[in-house]
Amino acid sequence: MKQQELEKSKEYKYGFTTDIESVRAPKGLNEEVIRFISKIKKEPEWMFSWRLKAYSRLKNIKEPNWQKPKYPKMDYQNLYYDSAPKSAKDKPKSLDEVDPKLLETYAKLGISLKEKEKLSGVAVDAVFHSVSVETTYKDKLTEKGIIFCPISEAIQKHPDLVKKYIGSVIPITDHYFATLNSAVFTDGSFVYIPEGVRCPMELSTYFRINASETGQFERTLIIADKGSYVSYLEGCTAPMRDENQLHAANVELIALDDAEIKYSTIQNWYPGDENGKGGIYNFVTKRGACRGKNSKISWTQVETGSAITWKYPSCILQGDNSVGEFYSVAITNNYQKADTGTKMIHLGKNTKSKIISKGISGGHGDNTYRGLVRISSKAKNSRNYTQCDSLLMGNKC
Amino acid sequence: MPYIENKNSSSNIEHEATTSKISEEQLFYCNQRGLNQEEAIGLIVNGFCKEVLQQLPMEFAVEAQKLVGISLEGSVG
Repeated sequence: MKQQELEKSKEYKYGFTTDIESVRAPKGLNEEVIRFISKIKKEPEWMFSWRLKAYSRLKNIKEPNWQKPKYPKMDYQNLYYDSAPKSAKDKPKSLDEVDPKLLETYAKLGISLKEKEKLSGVAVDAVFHSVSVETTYKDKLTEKGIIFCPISEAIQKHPDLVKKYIGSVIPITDHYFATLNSAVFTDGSFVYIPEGVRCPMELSTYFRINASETGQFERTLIIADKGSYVSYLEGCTAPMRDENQLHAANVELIALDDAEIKYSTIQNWYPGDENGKGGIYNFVTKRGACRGKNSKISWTQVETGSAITWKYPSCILQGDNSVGEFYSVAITNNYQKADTGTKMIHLGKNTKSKIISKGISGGHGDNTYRGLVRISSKAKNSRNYTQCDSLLMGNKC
Repeated sequence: MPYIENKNSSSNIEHEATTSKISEEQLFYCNQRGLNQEEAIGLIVNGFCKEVLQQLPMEFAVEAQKLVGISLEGSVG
């Protein structure tokens, strides 16, 4: 069934939106929509059945409700699960073919896909309407054997790697939002660093939500093979919106023997206005597994946006001597709410973890640190150090 | 809300937590040296977050510092 709906984004009083025609999956959440998404991404059969498996599980589980910031119940049948710029149907081959309006939006956001990148040494995999428009610096990375591409491309070109690792850290049997993502994810980034390679530059992705009523479901998969190193940056900006938008991404990191992954986030989604109206719900699942010996995963996050932030970047320390780190600054102002922290699961011997969490609340902001340190009986000589500081500003929080 | 589960006697866990406010004295100190309220808060907050911001790669660290300042604008009561 090829039911395509063309929608023009409306001009909005606040912020800026780009009126690019979108190819949209029909509204709602059902098998047809999942088939549509899978088809538009030209996915092989195994991927589609994987999505379906997640969807059939989703029908049997409920949204969690233990978090501190409550939110009005969302109608998942009233959302669009995929919106891709129409022009991306036939992927642009070079910058000249990219819709100039897209480029304009990027320019407003201060992202240059052109030679400027060379100066800053950042390879950007720009995600707009969930479709990666262009990946810069591919050649330089390819030389080293590094794979850095949209995950939809990886599914086609490197199915073995994707098949082996996708869902291995965040299984489809995980919680509600993670499973929802597994069923309907549209695009995201895929990184593979081969054995012994030190990634020569910071890899970076910019996310942006544009079409209204479109939840964005990103899927990121980063694999660092034995003895490799990679630093990945994720930056978020969103144009202003009056409606609550759901963002439920999944990020999976896998570090094998002696590998190190550094994942940094600056999250600056639209937080809603000073009266707490609007803003984005950021319910992201981020989890890293230190599979190999001496591996290391480090999360750094600066959370300043979103109406509600609800996330716990976690580390599973499986390999002996593996290290997990978590550094976080969460700022809430006006009516923003944050329930964030980390989980450190120690399984291997001599594993170490460090948690530094800083919360700042201003106005009516509400900031909760929620963390878990679990040390299993086999994790001999493991260590954890946790420090959480809060700074209160104003007298209303 | 920290949860700690330990099933191993040879492991070592430490937890520290603080809650604080920016004191009048800190602000007064900064004001005295010609910083206005917003600048003073920005400075203090950046100091508070320094440990985390230092972990960020260079390009991001600068951006993050600005962001921290911007997102707290108008929150001084």
